[in-house]
Formats: sequence, structure tokens, C-alpha cells
Amino acid sequence: MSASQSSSFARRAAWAFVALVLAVAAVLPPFYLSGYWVRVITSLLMYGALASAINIMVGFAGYPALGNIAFFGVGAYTVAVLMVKYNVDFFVALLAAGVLAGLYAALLGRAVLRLRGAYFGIATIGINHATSEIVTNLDSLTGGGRGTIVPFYPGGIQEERMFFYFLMLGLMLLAVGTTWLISRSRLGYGLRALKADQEGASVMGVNTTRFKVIAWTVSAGLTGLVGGAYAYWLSFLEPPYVFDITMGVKTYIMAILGGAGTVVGPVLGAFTLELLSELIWGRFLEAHMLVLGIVVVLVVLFIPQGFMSLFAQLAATLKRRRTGEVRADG
Amino acid sequence: MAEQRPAERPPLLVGRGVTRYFGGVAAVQDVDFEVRAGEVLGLIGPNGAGKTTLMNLISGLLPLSRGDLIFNGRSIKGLSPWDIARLGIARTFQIVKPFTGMTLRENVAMGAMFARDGKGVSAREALEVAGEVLEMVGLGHRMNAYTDELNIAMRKRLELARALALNPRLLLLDEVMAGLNLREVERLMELVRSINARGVTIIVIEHVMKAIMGISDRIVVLHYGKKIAEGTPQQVAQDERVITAYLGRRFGQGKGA
Ligand SMILES: Nc1ncnc2c1ncn2[C@@H]1O[C@H](COP(=O)(O)OP(=O)(O)OP(=O)(O)O)[C@@H](O)[C@H]1O
Ligand SMILES: [Mg+2]
Repeated sequence: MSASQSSSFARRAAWAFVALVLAVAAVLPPFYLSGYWVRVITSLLMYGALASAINIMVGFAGYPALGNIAFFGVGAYTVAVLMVKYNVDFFVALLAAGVLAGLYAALLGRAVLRLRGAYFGIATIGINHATSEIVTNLDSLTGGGRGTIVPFYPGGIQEERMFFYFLMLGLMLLAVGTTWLISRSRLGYGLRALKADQEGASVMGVNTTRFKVIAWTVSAGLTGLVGGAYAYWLSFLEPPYVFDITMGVKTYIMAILGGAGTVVGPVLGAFTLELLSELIWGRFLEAHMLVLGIVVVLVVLFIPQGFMSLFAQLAATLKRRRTGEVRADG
Repeated sequence: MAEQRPAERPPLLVGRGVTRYFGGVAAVQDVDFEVRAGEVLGLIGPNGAGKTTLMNLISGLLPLSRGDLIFNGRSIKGLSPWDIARLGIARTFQIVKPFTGMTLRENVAMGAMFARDGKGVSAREALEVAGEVLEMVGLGHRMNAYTDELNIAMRKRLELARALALNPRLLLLDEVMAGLNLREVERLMELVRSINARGVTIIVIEHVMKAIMGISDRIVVLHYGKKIAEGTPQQVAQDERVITAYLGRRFGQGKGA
């Protein structure tokens, strides 16, 4: 009893230590690193947030929302239009971006979420294209194909760097925190159940229609927020920049790579892939996509369950070893 | 035996002219039936007779083509499966549907989380309830295993545990004993009896005659989607139409006069 208490205390202390190290590691970079690296890490954080957001659909509900990047575009253009045309404050515009993207998914959800598997994935790609077309054609509002200039961040270069670094960090933490809450709630259990079997979940009392729509709304809302932040960061928008299906597929791969359905896996996947992509980009300017593709294939072949499964296996082995020792002692 | 006989209790579920077509073919046709509170109703018939379809209609997975279903005095026609589950009707599947990627405990906790009357509890409380239910069906020792580590007998028990965790008033069992050996069948019969003894009304589909005759208070026989007989196990076993359509001479006469 006291042994298990002290070991649980030790574990808690260890976690607190890890959390402290992570917190320090998260806060320090913009103060010490060069502008280049701050920008790279800011984009890691952004992809961490996007991968977490798509994970809610892919990992929990089991819906391959490849075209989720449409909500990124919606968020980006919401911020752009509100700031340019209506002089709205950035944070208000950002909030609107999240809400609008979420509503958009909620509206589409009832119809589109009837499709399953690849059909759903393809439909979301179609939604991305269609939305991009709409934005392009709303010329007077969005600047259409010519693009639009979003107001610059009012402040010095160093200050601007900090702002976007902490903005993306905050959004990523929001996405991970939301995922964590979902994973422990009835919503999370319901989603995992319907991922395995919709009929089985529905006769267990899970309102599968509502759960799927909620999941997509949350996923889209988070994606829209990140898109809104991106618009302000980039400060020049064209539809192809933000309705970029390659980017959507990338976040999907990141989520799978890290561990679909886990809380922090997608962030690990995002950091790894984006960092790798950055390094490879520098070394193999020409064959960059090829090298990246090979890396992805290798990882998926050898760790199909994602990075988090490696940790789970490790933990299981350690535990087995430890309980084995306890038995030997007694 | 001094208690009220099931035959005298009020009906918990009533089917009136229950009909379901697939294309032009009637899988279930004009079936009238009653399930009385507290009884075990057996549902038998040849392969393709419409037994599973009838369960799908009751649990809301399929809409009725015609007719009505009244549960506890209220029509459940047109309700969604989750609404019906929350009214207190739980079921198992002939082809088991485990929630892969979740432990047994999490599988069963689903029931308690979304239980009857919307009185579902939080995820954490539900996990505790799940532990107790798993003990009850004899899977307590595998609580943290994943579903793909289970053999078929265990999977059937998991189906049952999950349905039980919903705390149902009416439990629909679709061939939970199929594919089990004799010992396992006997254990499961015992379990079904004890669940019924706690006041849960049960409809049970089974091809294992020994089991269905042993646990049912009454039996309804389906053939090509129609009800061809109904009565106590003895009555049904002696019924000419049932013998020709399903049981065959040997079993029918063995039980009969
Ligand atoms: N979803 C469906 N679509 C089309 N036909 C179906 C469907 N479900 C069942 N059927 C048909 O309805 C009839 C009744 O099937 P059902 O599964 O209810 O039989 P059953 O009595 O449960 O048989 P078994 O003892 O083999 O399980 C069969 O002819 C079957 O092919
Ligand atoms: Mg059947």
C-alpha cells in the first residue's frame, strides 16, 4: 500500500518534472534562436495544431477527412475579409474564423457524414475545391484570384516573431487540450465506438449522427482558428495557398505517423515530418519530395500504428519487467 | 413458483402486424406477438426465417415497412436505435461487433455511459460499473485485454456484458450460444437464467434446441417471415407445422407424445 503510494508519488513528480522541462522548452526558443529557427518552430507548432485537429476526425471518429484543409482556408479568408473590409480587430476576427469554420462543417456534416471511408475522404476533397472556387469568385470580397493583403502586424520584427510563435503555441495547446478532454469524455468513447462499428455504437445508446457532426465541427473550428492565424502571419493570401490539398494530406499523414486516436501522437508526427521536411529541403533541394515520400513509406511500413504505439509497447515491457521483479521479491 | 406466472403479467413489448420488405421480398410479414414482463421468449425458425430481421426492427436498426411495435405502452416505431437503447432495450449481435481498439472494460463501459433514461454516468464511473459487469459474465480477469485477443466464446460473453451494462428492461439475444461447446452453452444458459431472475425480460434466438427449450417460457416460431406457431416449449415441439418446417421428425417426436 505505502509502496504503491510512494511509487505513484514518484510518478507524479516525474510527470511534473517533464511538464516543467517542456514548458521551459516551449517558452525559450523565440528569445534565443535566430529568426529562421523561430519561423521553423512556429510552423511546427502550426502543423501540430492542424494534425491534432484532423486527428479528432481521423483518429477518433475514423473518418479520413483529407479535405479538412477547406476549413483552414475558410478561417484564413474570414480573418482576411474581416480585417481588410471591416477593420475588425485581429482577435475578434480570429474568433469569427473558428466559429465560421465550425458552422460550415456542422452545416455540411449531416449530409456528408453519411458517406463512409474513402467516399467521405473524396467528398471532403471536393468540398475543398468547391470552397476554393467560391472564395475565388467572391472577387469583390476576397480579392479573388489576385489575392488579398492582410494588414501587417503592428510592431517590430522581434515582437512580431514572438507574437506568432506564442499564437501558434497557444492554438496547438488548445487543440491538444481539446483532444485530451474528448479522449476522456463520453464524446470520445462514443466516437471510438462508432469508429469500430456504427450499428454497434448506435444500439449502445450513442447518437452516432450527432457525435459525428460534433466531432467534425470541433475539428473544423480548430482548423479554422489555425487558418485565421496563418492569414495574419502570412499577410498575403491567395486561394491556392490556403485551400492546398497537399497541405491537408500532409496533416493527415502527420496524425497517422504520430498515432491516430492518441492525444499527443499527432503533434509528434507533425514535428517529426515538418522538421524532416525542412532539413531535407535544405539538403536535397531537387529530390525533396521523393526523399520525404520514401521516409513516410518506411515509417508507415515499420510503425503502422504510429510513434505512440512504440511508447505503449515500451511501457508494457517495462511494466512486465517491474511486476516480474515484484513477484520475485515476494 | 408461488410468484405470478409470466402468462398473467402485462406485456412489455407488443408487435402488431410487424412487416419488413427487402425489395419485393418480405423478410418479416404480419407478425403479431407479445413479450410479457419478466418472461424469456424464444424465437426459432429455419435459416433466413426473419429472426434477426425482427430483432433489427425492434432495436431500430431497420425501419418497419408496416405494422407497429409498442414498448411499455408506447410506440417505438420510427425511433432511432439510440433512443430505443435509452428506453431500455439492449441487444447482442449474431455476428459479434466488438469495439476494436478499446479494452473489454471500455467496451462494456459504453453501456453504462449511455444507459437507460439518459441516466448515463461519466466515463470514469462507467469504467467502474464495467468492471462489475465483466466479473458477472466471467471476463473479470481479462478486463484490460483488447477485443482481438478473445476467442469466440469470450466475444459472445463480451456482447452480453455490453448489453447488460445498459441496464436494460428488455434484452435481445441473437444466437449468443452459436459456435460454443456444450459446457460453454450450459454456462451461458445459467447466466441467461440469472439475468432473467433479476427481472430482465429476454427475447432469445437460438438454434441450439436444448438451450432454447431449456430457458424459454414461451416460444414463437417463424418460417419464411411468418409466425407459424407459438406456445410453451412442449406445445411448440409437438406442433406438426413446426416439426415439418424446422425441427424435423426426430426432435419433435422425441419431445412429443
Ligand atoms: N439487409 C438486408 N438486405 C436484404 N435482405 C436481407 C437483409 N437482411 C436480411 N435479409 C434477408 O431477409 C431474410 C431473413 O433474414 P434473417 O437474417 O432475418 O434470418 P434469420 O432468421 O436470422 O436467419 P439465421 O438463422 O440464418 O440467422 C433472408 O432471406 C435474408 O437474406
Ligand atoms: Mg439470424
